[in-house]
Amino acid sequence: MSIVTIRNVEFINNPARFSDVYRFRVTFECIAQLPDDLEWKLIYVSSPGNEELDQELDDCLVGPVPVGVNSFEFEGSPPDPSKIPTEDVLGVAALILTGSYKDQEFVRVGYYQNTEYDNEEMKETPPPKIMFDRLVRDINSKPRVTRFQIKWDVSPPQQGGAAVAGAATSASVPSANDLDDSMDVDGDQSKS
Amino acid sequence: MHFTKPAWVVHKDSSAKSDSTKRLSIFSVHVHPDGSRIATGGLDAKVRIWSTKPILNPASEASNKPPKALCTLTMHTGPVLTVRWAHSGRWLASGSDDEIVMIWDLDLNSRGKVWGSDEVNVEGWKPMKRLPGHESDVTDVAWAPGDRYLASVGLDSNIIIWCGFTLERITKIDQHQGFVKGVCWDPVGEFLATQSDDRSVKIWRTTDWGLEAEVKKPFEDSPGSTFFRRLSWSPDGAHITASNATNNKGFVFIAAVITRGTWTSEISLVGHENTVEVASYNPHIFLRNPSAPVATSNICSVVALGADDRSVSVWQTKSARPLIVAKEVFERQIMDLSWSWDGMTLYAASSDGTIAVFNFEPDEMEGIAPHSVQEQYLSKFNFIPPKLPEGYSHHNATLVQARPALTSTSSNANLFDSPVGGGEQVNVLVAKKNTKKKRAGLTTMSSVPSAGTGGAPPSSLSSSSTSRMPHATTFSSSNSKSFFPAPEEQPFGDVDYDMMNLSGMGKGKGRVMAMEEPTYRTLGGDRPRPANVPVRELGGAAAGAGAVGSGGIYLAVPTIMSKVSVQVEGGDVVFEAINAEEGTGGVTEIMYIDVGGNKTLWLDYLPTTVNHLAVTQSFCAVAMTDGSVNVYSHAGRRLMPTISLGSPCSAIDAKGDCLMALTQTGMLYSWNVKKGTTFFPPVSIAPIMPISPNYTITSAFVRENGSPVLNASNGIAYAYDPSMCIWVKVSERWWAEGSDEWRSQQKGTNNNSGSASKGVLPYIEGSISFDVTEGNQKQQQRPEWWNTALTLGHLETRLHAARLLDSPVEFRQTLELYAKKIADEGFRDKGEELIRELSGPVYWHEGKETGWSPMVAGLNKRDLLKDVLSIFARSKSLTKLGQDWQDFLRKIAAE
Repeated sequence: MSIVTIRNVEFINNPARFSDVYRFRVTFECIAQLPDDLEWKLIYVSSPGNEELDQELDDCLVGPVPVGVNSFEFEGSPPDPSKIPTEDVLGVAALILTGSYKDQEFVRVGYYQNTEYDNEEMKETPPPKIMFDRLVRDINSKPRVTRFQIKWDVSPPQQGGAAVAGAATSASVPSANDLDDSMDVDGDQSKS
Repeated sequence: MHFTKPAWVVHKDSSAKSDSTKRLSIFSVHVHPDGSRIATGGLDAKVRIWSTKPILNPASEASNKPPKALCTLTMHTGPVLTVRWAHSGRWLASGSDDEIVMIWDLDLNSRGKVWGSDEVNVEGWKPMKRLPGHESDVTDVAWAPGDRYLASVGLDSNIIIWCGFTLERITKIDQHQGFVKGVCWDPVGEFLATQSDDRSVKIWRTTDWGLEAEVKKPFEDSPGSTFFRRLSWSPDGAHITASNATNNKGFVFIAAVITRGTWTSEISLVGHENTVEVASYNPHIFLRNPSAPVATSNICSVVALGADDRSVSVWQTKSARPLIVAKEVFERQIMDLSWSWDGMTLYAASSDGTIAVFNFEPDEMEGIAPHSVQEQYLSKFNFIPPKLPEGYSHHNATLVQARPALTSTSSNANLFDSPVGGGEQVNVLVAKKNTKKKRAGLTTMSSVPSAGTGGAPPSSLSSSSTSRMPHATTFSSSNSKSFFPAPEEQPFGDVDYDMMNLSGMGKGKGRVMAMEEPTYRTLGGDRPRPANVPVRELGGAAAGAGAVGSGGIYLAVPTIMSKVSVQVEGGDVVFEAINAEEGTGGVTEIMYIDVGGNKTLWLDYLPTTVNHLAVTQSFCAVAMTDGSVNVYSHAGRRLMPTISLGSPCSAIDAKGDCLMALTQTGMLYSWNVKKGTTFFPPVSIAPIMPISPNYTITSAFVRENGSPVLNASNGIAYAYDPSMCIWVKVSERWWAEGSDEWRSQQKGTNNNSGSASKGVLPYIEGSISFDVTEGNQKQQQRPEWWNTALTLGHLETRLHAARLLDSPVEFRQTLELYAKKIADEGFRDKGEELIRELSGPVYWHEGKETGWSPMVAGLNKRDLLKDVLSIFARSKSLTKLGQDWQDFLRKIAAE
């Protein structure tokens, strides 16, 4: 049972130039008080076969985290071009966002990032030496999510105020027979 | 009754490719009290919510209105073993392998696309509260009447009682000595019942959570490794029906009906061919005589059972036979059952990853009484439930309606906020660079959390809500003396029922209505059954025989009779051969006859006389005296060309898809008819035929896995082991001379004509033990270790036999006996070796390729190991060995 569940990850600047900072907004739900901070990391994987070439772009702490839906923004620096093997600069790389609690990783979100030149001529015939200032990146919006079970160390039993007041405070549940799927699905996240 | 299997109710493997269609096990299903939605819990660690209208109504299914899948809840990190809606319908509780009980609440704002997946939640359910406390898998949860409490049970052997209002933990009960795998509440509210692998059902008082009673007898021999032992309390409060009970030393699988008050089980529901996994009562009281008044003697109930034999049965306690038995509806065990609140629909979930729905007609649920009858009836118990916590309620219409108004006033907004009152509240946190691992500050733009808390308790409303508690008013205070209508007044039908067979109730998706006899033409047409042919001998053994086998074997072949017939299992149908008498000009013919309708369903003519017939569910076989064999389908089509064996059959036998033939010359064949393959190359029985002419093969039969079993007249039963290409002894009379386990086996073998129902090993042992007299056993002086050695040898032989003959149930039973014996004797080395054999390499896990096979006799070795360890752990001499390994297994599992 994960106490923290990611609801959404948004890229505030995407597509962007290769050398731009990464700006993210992470929205997550927390279902129990967490005394410690959550740690989030952004990692750039240029060469999947060689872990040593992974670059940690950002590492931040968030906390204390209240129960409920929370969001935060953070920035990660662009990868250091000198540490990327020349043959791995163009094309597809992976961007990984990890969430940890008490040094245990509980979620890992992977994205594909495509890197290419910003004009057709250079796409057709790339210059012999990579011109980093002409590169743009585009992050595929489909996340690949892996969750891990960790010890959240919430001491049972959970005391601490009456959290719930009986189902009377819950919404009454209408019959499912009347539901339809005409709702605006994609826009629903931003709507309120 | 309508029967449906909605193919779209599915839990899929999300780690596999998205187009993967592999169904993952569904462990639990539960209908919402309003009947419009169901929740399912699966191996994929998800809770899914589905609408029921598309299941029950084809037009709705076609139009996709309402949508079929309503919501997917993904927060559990282990398989979800139980889902239960609160009686109020507002909350859903789920229990999982991840040791957590979760409470879910409707949340209109969390509808929409699920991030990180292709799922769309049409209806939003949010995690409201996480209830940690169990130290292992949570197997079952149950809401008390009026949602006063929630009980959860698990593999940590514990029961935890949570307040149904505050969801705080009230108490933990740790008096079970084994995995707890089922829980239910008394509808009166006085008791709680739990069922455990410690082979007991325990009844607890809700007033002080003390033990009221313990029921052990029906479970003494119940197998240990079922997934669940879900039990159910009848709506009139009079009985508990418990799963996984046995009669007859563990050979008859039953559900035990326990009577309130005396807490004894005199009644069993008999008929399932394997362990009963789940029992579930229809929530309505039924009247035996609908026009007579509601009295204890006029009340009965309806209970559904689901079992490891893949079938579901529904019983009405006033009648001697089940209302329905649905066989072959699932491909694997039934894991859970749930009745709709109106009592007309039954949902069943299976580990094959499907659910099935039985929708009854009102006339099939004769005598069903409205819920008000139950309420009135239960009030006779005069049980006064403990007071509710102040200010709490599940049902308060005014409170719900008042909330939007209150949220709009800013001063009270914190108290009553919930997502329903408006848009979702999101706390905006500030991330700080993790340079020195220093805590970052937090700026809260809006301090109101949306999930997990409702803010402070609504104290300002307590005065109004307490007066509206719905249940407080229904109890009359005039008579405080406890009164209980004697359950004996409520007779059950006869105890030993046979199951009606409704096989072919439809595999896969489809609706089966009341079936009408089709009136198509068949070969042989509507020719009435010929007048009875007198059965007599037509002459000597087969013509055209005479070849003598390689080992000089010449087995007996039955004389040719004028008529040979065999009953087709599970129907009023007979397969019959009429042999032509030589010189009379008659013809030999075979017929497939509907005895009830007195007509021939199909026929065929044959060139030579017939000496054997065999029929299974999948085919009919005819062995002829010239050594040929024809195989027909049940519609009379030849499933394969005529087989030519060269010499006539001494015996043939068929089981499932398997056909075995033993020829006069001692060659033995075993084929899979469906696949058209042989289980092993034809083999001679010469090695097991002693030279002496007096020894004969007394009987021969085959198992569904193709293993032939031959009984020789010297008191030895042989089977052929195709992997070693040798004949092995699966049992012999020798064990009778000293094995403690020999005699116990024979009780069940009297009047046992077939090997199918009671297990193959007792059948074999029964068939070779006939002339063991007790006299010569007692006279002989035996060495000190005689009995122990023979008992262990006997059990070890039986284990090998059960494996070879593919009899998982008997393998497990024998293994338990064997483990007990080793433990009783304190043979530590044998015990440890057995443990290692079952545990395999320490770092083995599913999917890992090693030389070690994780399965034996179709069972998971590590599951068996758990049984063995719990036996060792409870023993006098091997306690430590058992416990150490139990700890060790837990560690492996945790990694």
